[in-house]
Formats: sequence, structure tokens, C-alpha cells
Amino acid sequence: MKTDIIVDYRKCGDPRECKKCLKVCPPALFIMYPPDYKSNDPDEWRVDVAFTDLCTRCGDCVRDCPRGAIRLK
Amino acid sequence: MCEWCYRHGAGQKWYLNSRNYLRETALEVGAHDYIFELWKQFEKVYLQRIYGISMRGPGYKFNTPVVGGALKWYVNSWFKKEKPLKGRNARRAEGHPGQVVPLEDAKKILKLADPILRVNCACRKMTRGVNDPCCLAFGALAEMVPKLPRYIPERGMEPLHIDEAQAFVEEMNEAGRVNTVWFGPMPYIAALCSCQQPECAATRLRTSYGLQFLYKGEYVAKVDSSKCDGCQACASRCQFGALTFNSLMNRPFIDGWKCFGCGLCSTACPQGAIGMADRVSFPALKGVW
Repeated sequence: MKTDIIVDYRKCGDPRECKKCLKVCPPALFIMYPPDYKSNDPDEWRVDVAFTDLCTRCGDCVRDCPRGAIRLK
Repeated sequence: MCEWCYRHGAGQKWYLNSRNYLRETALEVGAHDYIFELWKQFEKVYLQRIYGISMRGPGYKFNTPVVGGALKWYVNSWFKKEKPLKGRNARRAEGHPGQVVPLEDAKKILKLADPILRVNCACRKMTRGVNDPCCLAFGALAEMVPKLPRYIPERGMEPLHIDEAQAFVEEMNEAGRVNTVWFGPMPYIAALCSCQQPECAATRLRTSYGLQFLYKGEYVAKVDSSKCDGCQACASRCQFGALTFNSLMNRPFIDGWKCFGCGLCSTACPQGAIGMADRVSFPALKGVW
């Protein structure tokens, strides 16, 4: 079974104040990063997921996201 | 002695060769540009896609028969790449592998490095969004940190004195973090980190995917059963699944094949019953890195 974790950026917005998915994920699969690497002190950050093959589909991220922006596929 | 010690150790362990810490070495390998590029785009190194390989779900690809093995071999070759000296691709972490070191060796490393700057751990910043100033940056990396604001600790940048730095790694060791030393890029040594699963990018690549981004240490832990009193202080220290407590014999069982030689079990033992023996003194383990 292949797992994909999809973040809806329209719902997520700026993750820097929230970071709930980053903290709750047991294997720490979420990543918060500045998409614009040209700027050194970026204003914009977003959440993405790496190493989805380590996901056990525990569903903690989906449950804890206050904006319902995370979906497991 | 490991392959890096032969090539970069000048008769000793590679990380104890002072040449690998010199500014001249940094300039020779273009460490400043390399480090800036790598740290600026640290998360992108995780998320990029090269020839269809991305770190989003690499396990699925690596498990494909034949093709998966070839991919793994190819990705592994990035970390070990030694040439060209200048201009290795930082986004593929070319020439940026690390090795586990026990506390004693970590302290020796700090005697050779200058300056020593404490910076936010890039891995923990990325995966948990937490600023945890626990990585010790040396020389060229320390020089580039002012250009990389997100890794500057909230308290500001301050170079650590050797004694302070040694006390700090001791504290990290006590907290159960594994000391690791890093090429950036080979053979220049840029950092001493305090790694822990699951946040550490390198430990994950090694333990979950078997990629040789992080080498096992120069030592293997060994129990002296005449000294062990069965207190189990070591039982929760191992991050690599090498140590379990054996109730029949009332002493820990250390699987030498899994041991990374970090020495966390050894520093936790009140009896001094766990020693760190040279990996090469075990004929079967001397090639296991």
C-alpha cells in the first residue's frame, strides 16, 4: 500500500505559528521550508511531506490539523 | 581503520587529522560556497527530484527489484564523491557524509576545531519547526552562518571556548544524543552534531534505507560481564536497536553487527562495565561501516 500525504495550501496558509503537524507526527515526516531560496530570510514558509513510505497512516496529522488541510491518500 | 582514515587520516583517524580542519583545506575544496549552497537550500535537498528520485517516498523506489538496487548505489555514490575538489553539487550532498563518534573522540575533535559556533540544528528546524542550538559549526561553516539567518540561535552567535564546547557535548551525550562528525565537503571537516532519531535526516537515511550517509563509528561496544551488576541504566540508551537487556543473564546483549559505536550505553553505565573496543579488533566487524 502506497501512502501519499497531501497538504491543501489554500487551507493551510502560513504554518509558522501552528506547526501542529510537525510536532504530532511520530516519525517526523513533515517538513517546514521556505520555497523561495533566493531570499535568505524568507517571509513565506510552507509545509510538505518527505519519506511517506515510513508513514503508518496513524491519522494524527489529519485529526490535529485545525484547518483540515491534510489528507491521506 | 576505515577507508576515510587511509585517505584523509595521515596515520590516525580521519577526524583527528588537524589538516582536515585547516582554512587552507577549506579553500582548496571550496567549502564556503559548498556550505552556503547546502545550508541555504537544506530542505530542498530533501524534497528535490533528480532523475525521478525524490525523498518523498524513496522506500517504494528502493524496493523495486534490480532498479531499486541500482538507484541506491547511485545515490550512495553522491555522498562518497571526492572529485572534483571544488564545485561538487551541494544539493546532492556530494562529499558530505558523516560518522558516529563516541564522547571521548568528540572532545578531541573540539580541540582541533576553531572557531566553534553553536547553531540551530538544521534537521530539527526542518522537521519539527523548533530552534534547537545544538550543532557545533567549525571554520568555514561558522564563517557562513551570518549569511544564513534562520540557523542563528535566538540568543545570538557566540563562539564557544573549548571547555564550554566540551561541557556542551557531554550534556548532549547525557541527554541521549549521538555525536556525529561531518565532512563538508570531503576532506574538510565542518561540524559536530548531536543527532537523535527520528528528526535527524542522516540517521534516517541510514537506518530506514541503508544509505551510507552516516558511517558507523570506529568502535564497537562490549560488555564486561564481571563488572556488570544488571542495573539496566544502559537499556534505554541505544538508538540503533543494538542493545537489549537480557533477563536470563542479567546483563545487556549488544549486537555488534548493529552497534554504531556511539558509546551512549558506555557513558550511562555507573560500573564502567561497557567498554568501547576498536572496530578493527573484531575480525568480522572491521569491514562493517
